[in-house]
Amino acid sequence: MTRLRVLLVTATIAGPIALSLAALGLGRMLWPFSDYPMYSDLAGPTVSVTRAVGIEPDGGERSLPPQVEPTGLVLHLNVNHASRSSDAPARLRRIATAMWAEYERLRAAGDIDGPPLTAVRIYRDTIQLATRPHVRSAALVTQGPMP
Amino acid sequence: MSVRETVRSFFFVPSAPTNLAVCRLIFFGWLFFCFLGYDVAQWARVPADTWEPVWFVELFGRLPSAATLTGLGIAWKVSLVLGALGLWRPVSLGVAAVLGAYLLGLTGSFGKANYDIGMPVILLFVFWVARSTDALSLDALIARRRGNPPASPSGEYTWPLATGRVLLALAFFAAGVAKLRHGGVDWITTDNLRWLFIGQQYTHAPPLNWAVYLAEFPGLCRLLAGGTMALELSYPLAIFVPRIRPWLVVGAIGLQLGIHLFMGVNYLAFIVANIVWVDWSQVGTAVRSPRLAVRTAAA
Repeated sequence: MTRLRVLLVTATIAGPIALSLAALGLGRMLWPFSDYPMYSDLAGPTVSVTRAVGIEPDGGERSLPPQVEPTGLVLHLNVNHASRSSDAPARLRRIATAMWAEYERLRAAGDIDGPPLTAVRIYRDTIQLATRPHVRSAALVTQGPMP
Repeated sequence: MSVRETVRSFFFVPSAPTNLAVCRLIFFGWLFFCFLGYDVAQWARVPADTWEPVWFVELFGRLPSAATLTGLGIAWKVSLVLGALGLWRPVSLGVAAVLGAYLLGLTGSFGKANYDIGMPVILLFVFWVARSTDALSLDALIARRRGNPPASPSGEYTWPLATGRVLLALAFFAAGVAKLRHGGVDWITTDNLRWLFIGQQYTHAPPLNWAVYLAEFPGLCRLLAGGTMALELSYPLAIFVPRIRPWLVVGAIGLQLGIHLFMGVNYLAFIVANIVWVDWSQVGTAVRSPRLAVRTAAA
């Protein structure tokens, strides 16, 4: 091995190991090195999910097609994060408005079927897991575009 | 033997180039099939307010257009195929590593951290630096045609896989430490895993709903929680104690498959990293001559 090669190989071994240890020791992500904290917090008898629905001209709600991102856990975390920001109401509204605009763009392009929507609403559902059947309650997070 | 000599021997004991080559072939092939359907352009359609790039993605400035992302996605997938075939290593594996870090980094750049892609990204860079195409590759075939002798055993073929083993051990150990740090012993002794099993049915879409039935047995859930933490915290022993290595490695693969099937969290891109534990030369011997393989293993 040449001197340069020895240096490169040593760095490729020691660098990732040192950064993995650092992420572990600090308890935080040093991308792509992680402390792997998924599911390490204690789960309780309540779970919350975030969902977005489209509002039809007659006021009825309908599910958004999967092509309109973000969905599922990503939407949930996005809303969590936006809710903590200083301009939370405006930021949340912009997310809903962007989802509405994306739906209308896909509809106009013929990529999805569906009626025109007047808005997109984002709900946070809280589900009680200790009851049978599980009890679900919904709270409106935001709506966009505003009338 | 001193610590320095032990470490040196662990990383640089000479080995044949075949092991590393088989790992390269499987790793790149697996990633190609895992991400064949990955629609990179989707990120251009996500609301701009959710954009929170990881540092590597941020290096490249603002998010490109959907058309550019599609082009980058195709280039990356082609580089993965070339990586599996072992053609033009410095270029193909370099493109696979850099584009892979960028495109997989995007999955963690919209408010959701993705813990399953870190290991593949790191290993892409390790395979790039390593002499991973010295055997079972088009590069090796071309070199042979030019009259170069076949690669002989060297430490160059040992350190990449040894590094992968240490990184895997640290990843599982970190997961165990995180559970102790955030949940403590309550992570095992309470109904934590039971609630998690039920809650996942609402937050994710598991391929199987068996976790709902497991949740009917709180004692079994605690046993599974204890087993999970014990497995994660003891995983580094796989490096030092060959006798328990298969149990720990197979157990960890089972854990990740279980999380995928019962909880809907996809670790398929991560699971492939476990190939670094396999002695592929012995597998090859077993395929060619089962009796000889048993004798070699016994020796």
